[in-house]
Amino acid sequence: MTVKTFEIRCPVYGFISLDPWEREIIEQPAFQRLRRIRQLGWTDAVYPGAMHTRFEHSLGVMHMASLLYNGVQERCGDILKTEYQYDEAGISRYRRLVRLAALLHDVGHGPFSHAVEELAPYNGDGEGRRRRYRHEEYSTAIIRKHFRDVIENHPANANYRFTVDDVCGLIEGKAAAGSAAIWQELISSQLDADRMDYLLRDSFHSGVEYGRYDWRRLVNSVELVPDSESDSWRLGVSDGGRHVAEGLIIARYMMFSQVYFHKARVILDYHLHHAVEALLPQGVFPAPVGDELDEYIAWDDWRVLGLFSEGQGGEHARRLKDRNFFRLVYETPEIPSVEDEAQLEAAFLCLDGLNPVRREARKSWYKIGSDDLPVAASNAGGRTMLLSECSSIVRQMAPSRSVRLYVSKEDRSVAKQRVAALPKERTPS
Amino acid sequence: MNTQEPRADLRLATISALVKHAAPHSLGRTAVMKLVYFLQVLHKVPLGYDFRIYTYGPYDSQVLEDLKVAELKGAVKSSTVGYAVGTGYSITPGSEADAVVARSPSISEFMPKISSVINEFGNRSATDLEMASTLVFVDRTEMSSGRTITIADAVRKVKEMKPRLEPIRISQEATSLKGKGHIAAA
Repeated sequence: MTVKTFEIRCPVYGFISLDPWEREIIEQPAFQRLRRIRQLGWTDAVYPGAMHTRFEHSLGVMHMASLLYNGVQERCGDILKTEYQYDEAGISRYRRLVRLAALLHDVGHGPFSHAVEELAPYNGDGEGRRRRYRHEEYSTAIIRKHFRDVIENHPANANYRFTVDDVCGLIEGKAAAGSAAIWQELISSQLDADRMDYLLRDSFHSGVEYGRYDWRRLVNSVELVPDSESDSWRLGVSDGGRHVAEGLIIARYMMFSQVYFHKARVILDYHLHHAVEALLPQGVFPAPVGDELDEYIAWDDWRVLGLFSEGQGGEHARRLKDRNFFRLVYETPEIPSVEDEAQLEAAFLCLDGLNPVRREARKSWYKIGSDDLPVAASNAGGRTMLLSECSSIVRQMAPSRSVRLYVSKEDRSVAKQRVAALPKERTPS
Repeated sequence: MNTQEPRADLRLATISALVKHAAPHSLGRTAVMKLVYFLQVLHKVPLGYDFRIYTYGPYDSQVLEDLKVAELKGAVKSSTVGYAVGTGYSITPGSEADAVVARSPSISEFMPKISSVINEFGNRSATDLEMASTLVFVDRTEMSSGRTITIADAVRKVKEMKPRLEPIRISQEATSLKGKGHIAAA
């Protein structure tokens, strides 16, 4: 019997195909909520086209994960069969699992995506960590509560017998994934489907070319490569794919430097954080536990914008509405020297009384630079190389540690005069 | 740990101290990753990393970021070396190691634990470290989910992730870890 497929238009890939099971998952209210979560927060104040949502990104990640999976399976089927004991049913089963994990990995995003995720409450796990809940933890809590029935009890699951823990295991990076662990890197790694999709999609909607790379070539280059230090297989690229892998890294760097770390976007995130904080009880989102989870799900962009529209959210919401955001008056180079850091402190002190806001751009593209991608040997019997070894460009990419100082628009002139009076100053144009 | 101390300082100091304690042996990237994992999970050093499991064991790319920062600060040196199937890194102490370690007020509290981890695991191969850390990860994941597993279950799960390892070898490692109290599997 032929299974009916549904096709959804996608501005990046043309069409994304779904089967009836996936369509039912997408129709769940907890997934439809992603239509009301913008992918890039308040970025449209800088790039007006950036109004896309987590909904289309999630579809795109599923599509890209499928392409990568198929590519690995085509090129490395022998490894999967002989070492991981996959048969045809196993290949079909894990393809399905990867698609589900990719589709659902972002259902836990809060309003405006990453812009306000620092408003999640703290969590501790007894292993030296005290940190805020991550959106992945909201995702897996939501999957376990709201997608359990549509995953575990769907007739199509009779072929697979998946539990929600199987899906969550891939998203959480937990050992519950068992033999699916080989696919963990498609969901979270330097070459994951999430990254490959968001660069293309964010670039498209922002109207910039920076995030584009030859994704078709990359899909056709991904394969399992022996790890150089141990008896493991890793997701890597063929020797012929190393330059397109470089292209992905450069695209990520460019998107961070030109879009995600844009001077106005960075301070808009600051205003959005404080405006949403003013809306929340105790200034934090509900935790992804118990009844609080559904309270969390009730938060989306529509609700926040509605409250802003009613005059809530305080000064920061007004500044967002009026596009009266704080202005940049000082910034360090991307890679500040000790002297630059000293100059930054001098600039901060000279702004005393103007309530300067310090914003750091440290979450950077560099994780790729330091997290070497294995590149298969070009000759039979040859050795695995690391991308940083093959690529002088990647090798030279140092982490961005840029710091910027902002003041209110009203104080900008005074602030600039003070900064200009500093010796060896470095002022923005 | 001094609650006012930036976590980044403790991480850099810990990595630098690990590499220094291991000398004259150099460490590979895998070794640094797994030794840091053991420090956080087995010895409760509050490093704040968020490890996920891959076919090559517990991993957090932030460890490699911190390793790179340690290198930029001169606390460690890194060079490429050839292995049987590919190229890896050899990480040795840098001239600024002592200065970077000294920058962390609380590192002295954890020095005995760093010594303990190096003594126990510092000479193990990357494959052994991956196997041991994967066993610990599997065990901790099951425990945190309120489940108990047997040694045989843990061995089977590790074998699924690392098919090239012989079950007897995984089983011996699991028994050893159990004997030292590192895993709870029955």
